[in-house]
Amino acid sequence: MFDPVMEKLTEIAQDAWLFLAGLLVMVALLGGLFFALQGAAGAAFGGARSTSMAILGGIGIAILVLFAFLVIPQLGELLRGLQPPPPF
Amino acid sequence: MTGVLDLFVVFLSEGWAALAGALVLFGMVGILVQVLKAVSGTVIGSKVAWANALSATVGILFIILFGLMGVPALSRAVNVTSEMTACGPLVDLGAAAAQVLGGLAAVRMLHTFVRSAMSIAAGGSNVVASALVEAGEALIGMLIVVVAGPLAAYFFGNC
Repeated sequence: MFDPVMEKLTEIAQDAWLFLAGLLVMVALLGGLFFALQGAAGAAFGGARSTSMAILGGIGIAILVLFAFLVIPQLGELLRGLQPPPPF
Repeated sequence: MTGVLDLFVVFLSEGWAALAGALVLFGMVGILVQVLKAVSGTVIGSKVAWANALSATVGILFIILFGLMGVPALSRAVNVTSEMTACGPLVDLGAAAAQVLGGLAAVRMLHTFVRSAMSIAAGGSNVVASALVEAGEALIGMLIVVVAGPLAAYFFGNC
């Protein structure tokens, strides 16, 4: 009865997922470029703290992107497996 | 009459399955939104955005897990305690009606958790509060059904 509705909802969620994943990649790439610039500037001016902060920021972005693309789909599969039958 | 009530139960079961699927779907999209927020917060150096995203991710996970594991447990507990101790056609009808009412309350509770997960993903805490109040109302309705069963058995006589 609700299958057509679920198909539409799945399509909407898939579109939203693709859009957000693309946006995440773009923001992460821009962030990586920004941290590369910050690190290069710090290295050029002898600012060790600035360089180390840029390296840490780049690593943080990489970890977040990996979390988004590796952990969240697995989490979704896990939660989909937990879907209970109707309790009534 | 019980056939109509059985049809309602089938309808509610399909609604339950659809809502459980929607809860997982929109919860996952909401977690991706929060990760995007965390990445943006990292780029601009905002610790507040990072903390908000982390807490919202944990909140969405908590809401999904409670919706998928807590609501069925509550509903099953109420359905078990609402079993009739009498017999006869009226009691059969009462049992079927109690099952439909329990199903309605369970679906309503799951619906409030879907709303909560979506509103946490969008950053709206007011909707979460009102949705959780609705879940509490549904639970109280289920408990009233539990009280109504033994009362009806008392008035119509035990077997």
